[in-house]
Amino acid sequence: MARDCQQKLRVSTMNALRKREEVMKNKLFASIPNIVFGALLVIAPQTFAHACGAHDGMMPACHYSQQAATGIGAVILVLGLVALIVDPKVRIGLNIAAIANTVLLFAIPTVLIGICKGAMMHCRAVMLPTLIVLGVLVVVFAVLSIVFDTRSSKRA
Amino acid sequence: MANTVRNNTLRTLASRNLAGRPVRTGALLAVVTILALAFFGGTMFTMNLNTGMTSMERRLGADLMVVPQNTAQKAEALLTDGNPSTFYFTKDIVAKVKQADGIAQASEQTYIASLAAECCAEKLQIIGYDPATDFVIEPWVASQFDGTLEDGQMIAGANVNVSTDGTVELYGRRWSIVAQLAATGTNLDNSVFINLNTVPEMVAASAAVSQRIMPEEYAHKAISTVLIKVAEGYDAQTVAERIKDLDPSFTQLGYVYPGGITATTKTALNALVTYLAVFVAAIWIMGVIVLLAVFASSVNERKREFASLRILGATRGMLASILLRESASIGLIGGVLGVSIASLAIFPFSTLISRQLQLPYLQASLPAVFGIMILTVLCAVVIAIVGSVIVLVRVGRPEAYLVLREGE
Amino acid sequence: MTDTTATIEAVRQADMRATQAQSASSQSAPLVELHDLTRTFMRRGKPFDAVSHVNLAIVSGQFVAVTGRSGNGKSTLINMIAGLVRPSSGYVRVDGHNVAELSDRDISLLRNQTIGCITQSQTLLANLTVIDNVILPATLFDHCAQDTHAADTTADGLQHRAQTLLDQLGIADLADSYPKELSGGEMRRVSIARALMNHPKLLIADEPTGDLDAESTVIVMQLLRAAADAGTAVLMVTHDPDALEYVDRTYRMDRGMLTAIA
Repeated sequence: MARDCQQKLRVSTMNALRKREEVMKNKLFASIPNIVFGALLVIAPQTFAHACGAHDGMMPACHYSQQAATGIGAVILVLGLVALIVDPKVRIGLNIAAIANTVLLFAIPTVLIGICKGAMMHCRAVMLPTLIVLGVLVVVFAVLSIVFDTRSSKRA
Repeated sequence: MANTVRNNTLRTLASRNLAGRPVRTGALLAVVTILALAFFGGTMFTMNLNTGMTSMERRLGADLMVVPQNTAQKAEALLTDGNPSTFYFTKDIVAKVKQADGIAQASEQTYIASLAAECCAEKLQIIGYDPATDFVIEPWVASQFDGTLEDGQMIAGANVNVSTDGTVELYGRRWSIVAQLAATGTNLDNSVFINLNTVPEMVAASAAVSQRIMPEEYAHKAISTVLIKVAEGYDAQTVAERIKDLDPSFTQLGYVYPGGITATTKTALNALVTYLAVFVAAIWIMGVIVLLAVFASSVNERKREFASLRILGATRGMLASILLRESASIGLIGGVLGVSIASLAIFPFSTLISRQLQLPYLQASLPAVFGIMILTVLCAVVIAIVGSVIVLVRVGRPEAYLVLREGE
Repeated sequence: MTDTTATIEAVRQADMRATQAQSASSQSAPLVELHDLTRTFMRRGKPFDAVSHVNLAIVSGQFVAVTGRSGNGKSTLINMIAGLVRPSSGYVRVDGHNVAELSDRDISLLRNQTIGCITQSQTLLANLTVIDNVILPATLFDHCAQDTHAADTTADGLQHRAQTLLDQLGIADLADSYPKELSGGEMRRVSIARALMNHPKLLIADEPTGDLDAESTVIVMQLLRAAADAGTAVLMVTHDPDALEYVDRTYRMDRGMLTAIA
């Protein structure tokens, strides 16, 4: 009988360990990408992927797109940070929000505000592609994280 | 019913084997991803350079360009990927030059570097040409614009930003654009083409809004270059000598051989492509070695696993199908990952790449891109399957099952 | 004594008489028949017989043990019965089939449906849970119609049977564990459950009590005895004297030769 108890204890410890590992993995998946890419979205438009300078004393459209992208990056960064301290169901919501933010990120330089029109201009050659690449990465990881969190909360 | 259960187990066994060995699976995936990335990236790059080169060759139809003194370099840059520039001599020189021996066709063009067309655009190269004698631009334009270019009208290169009402604002005037040309990957994409008669209009317009682009007295007689197609039996150098013979002052003129420029660009491009090919080949050789090593190192572990399956009554076909499923999934996932990552760098940043390269770089056609994508994924799957065949061969030997006891 | 062993003991008592009658009647057609079975290997350039001219018959319900020091051909013998090693001469018949003459598919089917193997080494699949390991043999082939026991081949039916087996072996709690989380004795019991999953007619056990403590040895041996009493032919290779208490007949393997011990 003592042996049975021991066995049960061991099984439950193992299960708990396995579960904790998975919980940790999902949490990191839901937060780290958003933190990293959010931070990059804040930094990039202000540094290497900057907008074009002023023309004739007038700020070009890409300048405002750049400022907006930085703002959206900050929001995604915050979503990632919050994901570290909330439970899986809330994390799913946070990642949906991150995807919605990315849609906004794509819409700003293309539809809502726009950027310079010259194909060789810096904002079109560097800023826009950088935003697109970072945005795609945010969406990919957010979708994966939603899949993981949905799966494990269904199991629970 | 039993069938569904059975198929599920064999399929999940493969994926569970992958999931159960995260380090091994990760290593294999990483290698396959890198292989696919190198293959796809390298191929796309080479293809885009070749497309750019072909397009450039087609655009440079002249054998010889006669340009003003000290402007040969500017003219070359204009043909490849340099900045817009303005240079000119006068029509009377042109008329003389045209009399030289060995000229089959000659046509003059005027180059004017504009200021930025409007806020947020770049400098444009304005190219005035003579539709009556032209043999360089018309054949290319003809494929996309069917009609004559009237005075005051423009044809725009691919990168020129045309507003929705079909005009471009230049020197405070709106010029109507009758056609926009397909991309060439060269400086011509940033050009607008006008009729030679429109040049004085342009000069006048520039004088009205900012600094004039050339003195008024030149407006009607400025010509930047004479493009020459040599007659049968002559080569470009001989014709250049004949022109120099016409007048002693003509030795001072610049002579540009577009064929030579193409050749120089081609050499630079071939060097780059060769370097790239060697690089990709090196990655593949190393990658395949790593891949085979990882597969080979898993043989012993898998011998035991497959011996167990064999004892339970799995046929050789079942073992092969498990292995095949595993390696095919690794190949497929790795291939798709590699193509995706490479695409994320190549396609959005193509403008930047072309700007940095200083070589004609033109995106290959969509079917070609999709073809290469599929080919890359296919290669990734095949290389993963080939790697797993090693395991299969070594595990498949009948006596391998003895390992159940002897391996201890 | 645990609940499990008590249950098994009860089953054993109940089945005793029926089984004895059965084994007497099937005496004429042995389930396993080895005839003049020889396997020659090369060792240092010289041929030697790992198994030499062995004759043996095992009927249903009979529990046979083969003892002897290691390196005397015991594992070659059972590998030949399971069709994993081909004989140099002689033949093995299992359930009427000459094992060496079967195609890959047929020998696989025989191993899957007729033979259950309990191996000495760890042969559970590391990436499957305990319960999936036990179910696995039942999912390789579609079950034959005559196999009335396994009529229920739906996923639920298999799950239920595997869980029952684990329950009988006292390791029901471990169903969702992975093999690496198990002790040696537990793995051995899972391996037995897996061998019993397809209701084999022949159970081959290779050192089933090797490196087990006394308590686990008793559990495992009582299980094998119960299987034999339920009509399964059991062939056990062992050098554990404690294990011999449970068997009907004992043979000794010495330099490839098999001799009966009274």
